Amino acid sequence: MRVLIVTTQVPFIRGGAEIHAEELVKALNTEGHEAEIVAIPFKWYPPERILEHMLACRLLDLTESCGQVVDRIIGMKFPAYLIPHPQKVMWLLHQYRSAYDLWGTHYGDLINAANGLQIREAIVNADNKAFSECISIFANSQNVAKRLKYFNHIESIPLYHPPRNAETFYCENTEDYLFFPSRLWSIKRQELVIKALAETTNPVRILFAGKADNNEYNEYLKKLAKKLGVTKKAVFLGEISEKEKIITYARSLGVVYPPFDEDYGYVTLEAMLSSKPVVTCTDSGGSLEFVRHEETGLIAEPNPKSFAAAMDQLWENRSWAQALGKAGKEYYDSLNISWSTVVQKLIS
Amino acid sequence: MKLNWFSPIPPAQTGIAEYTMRLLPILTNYAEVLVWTDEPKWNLDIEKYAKVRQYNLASVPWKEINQADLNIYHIGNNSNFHYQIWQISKQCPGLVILHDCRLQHFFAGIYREKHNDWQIYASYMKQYYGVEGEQASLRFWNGDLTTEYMAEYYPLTFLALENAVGVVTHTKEVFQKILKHKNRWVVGYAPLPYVSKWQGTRNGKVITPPYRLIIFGYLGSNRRLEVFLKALSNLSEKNQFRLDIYGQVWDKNYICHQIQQLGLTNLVKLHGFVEEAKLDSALANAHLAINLRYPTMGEASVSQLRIWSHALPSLVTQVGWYAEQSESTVAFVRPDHEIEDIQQHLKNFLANPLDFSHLGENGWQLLQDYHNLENYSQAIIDIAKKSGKFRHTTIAYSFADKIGEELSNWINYERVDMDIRGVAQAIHFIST
Repeated sequence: MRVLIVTTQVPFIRGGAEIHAEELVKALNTEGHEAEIVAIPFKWYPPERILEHMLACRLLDLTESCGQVVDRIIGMKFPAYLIPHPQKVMWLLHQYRSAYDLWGTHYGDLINAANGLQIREAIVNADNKAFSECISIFANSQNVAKRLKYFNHIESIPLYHPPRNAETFYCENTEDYLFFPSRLWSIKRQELVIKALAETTNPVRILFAGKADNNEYNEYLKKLAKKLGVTKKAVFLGEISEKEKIITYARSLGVVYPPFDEDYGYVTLEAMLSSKPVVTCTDSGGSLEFVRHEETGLIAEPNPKSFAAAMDQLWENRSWAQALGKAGKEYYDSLNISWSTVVQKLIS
Repeated sequence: MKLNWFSPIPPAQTGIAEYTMRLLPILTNYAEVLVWTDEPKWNLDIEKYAKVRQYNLASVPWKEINQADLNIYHIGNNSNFHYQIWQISKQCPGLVILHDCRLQHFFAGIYREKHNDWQIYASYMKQYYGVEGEQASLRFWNGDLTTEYMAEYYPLTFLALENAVGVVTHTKEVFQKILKHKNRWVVGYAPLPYVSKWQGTRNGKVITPPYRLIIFGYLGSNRRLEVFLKALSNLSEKNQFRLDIYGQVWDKNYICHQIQQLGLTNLVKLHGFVEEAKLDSALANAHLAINLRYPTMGEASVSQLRIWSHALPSLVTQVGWYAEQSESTVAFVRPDHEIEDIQQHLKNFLANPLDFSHLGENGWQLLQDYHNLENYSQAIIDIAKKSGKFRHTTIAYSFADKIGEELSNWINYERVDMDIRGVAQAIHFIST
């Protein structure tokens, strides 16, 4: 089957979504299909640009290429999933969140635009129509499926997939640090973790790995750490290689991952694959589908004191932390998350 | 329903501020209203009914504005009161309530008096009226054409509606015009509401000569005072009438001279501006109101509603909003037969004053039935609900403009049929 993965790419920004699309192509090709990515560049400011990108997507024809039929397209991100096709399957990573769950929150910017309400309604309207065009709809996680049901009244099937290089994650003897690998971005809440570091009673140390979407936020986090006197506790590694990431997971005492309402969250899964406990928050979305409080990790309130207490608990109880990590790995294994299952569902 | 209400509010000296003040106690029974003003101070009485927020164009609090279901913008001809509102409406689509239907005074006020920017003014005139409009704008700028002339032939009404999703008019004529001109807005007609402050009785008036005639308001040349004086002076029964003139006359010396020349000194009295209560008292004691306008800007007349609130019969010019009224509520004067019609009505009045009283009574009933706050509030809410649903569909028009402009650069329209259809379908997908 000739399959196109249609997604959206913000030029020079790379994260989980890009890896996800690449891994899906790999999995489809492994299963004998011919797959490629069609990535639409996306710009969301000024907000009128969103509408123009939507229109551009609707004007694309992916039904065939060079005289050969494209059998299926798999839509993943807005507005690329608006591209019409008679055999469109949706595997939704997330919608344009500023128009949905982030509307009115600190993280959503569309509400600050003069025509924000109008654009929001146009997005919802187009989404509803695009979803009705699909032959089947899957969501990246239960959380994404829940949002789709809540905002658009559309049913979808949660479909988990393994993180990249899932088979290479492992566990070593622990060293004195917790690990927080993620793009430096306000919604990932590195800020909360730095503030929590200032509240810890133990010499908790955190290694932050990841590139900032914009350098201002990077500088802000470093200044915050300095202001709170935690520069020695908060270590910024910057962007690290896949190999370094896997080793850093393996040797960590545990993983912290407190984003605001994450869609899915590779970090949680990678931590579990490395047999590490995860500290997350009650409003962290996708990670809550995997972390069970005091079984596979700790779930704190999204405030510095509560998060600090959770980190202290892991720091003080190393053997318990190890046990939580082990239970996390067992839980992951029990879910039978595999690419072959994913491909089978998307192509059937 | 939650509404943002962009309107002048007291102490702003405008009828629209007064209208908002009177409407809010009723409107807020149907919706949560947040009033927005660009003025730093306001009459605190308004906060009995709605919260008030201040905005300025340099830093508009869109986040708070976007919490409401719809913005309602009040647009009238005074650029001092409505310029900032229009600026907001250009950025954030909403429902426009047209208090004036010919908005040339408004735009001339902005671009000639405030900004002295002919380029922008002329570009709008060209956009709406082509090369002819552009040329007229130059003649207007040079003082060869009056604002009244421009308003008559180039009203620029649609410029105020460019980003609107809905429009409310107070006249049936404008309602029909907007419907016909472009089918792109939710359009509603709602008779302008009026609440009288007059506490006195309207019964028991003695109807015996001399009969009291009354003219009031801002008396510009379009109020036909000269014509009326002439008609009265040539009437053989003129001594059975007394004419009271209240308000500001455009050229008092000239009018005084006319009164003298026409031999009406004993019959006509100029009172100038008086307090509201005194004017109401004069209206209560009058037998016939003279409410002529030619030309007219076409909008609903608050003066006429006030006349009816005293159950007072009236002569009106058969143009604009006045022409929409029933013959059972007013006596019409045709613009091209003014003296003839005025004299005939005055003679009819003398012959049977009671028949004229019925006009006033019918007008009073009309006021109660149609021009009341309750009906008006419900109409606004209905139109606002429809407009809210229509909001994202207006995106199609901005797309069409943009794509049309882009395509015109590189496409031969005689050969495009299918391409255009594809674009239209894509726009339809997003916006409807």
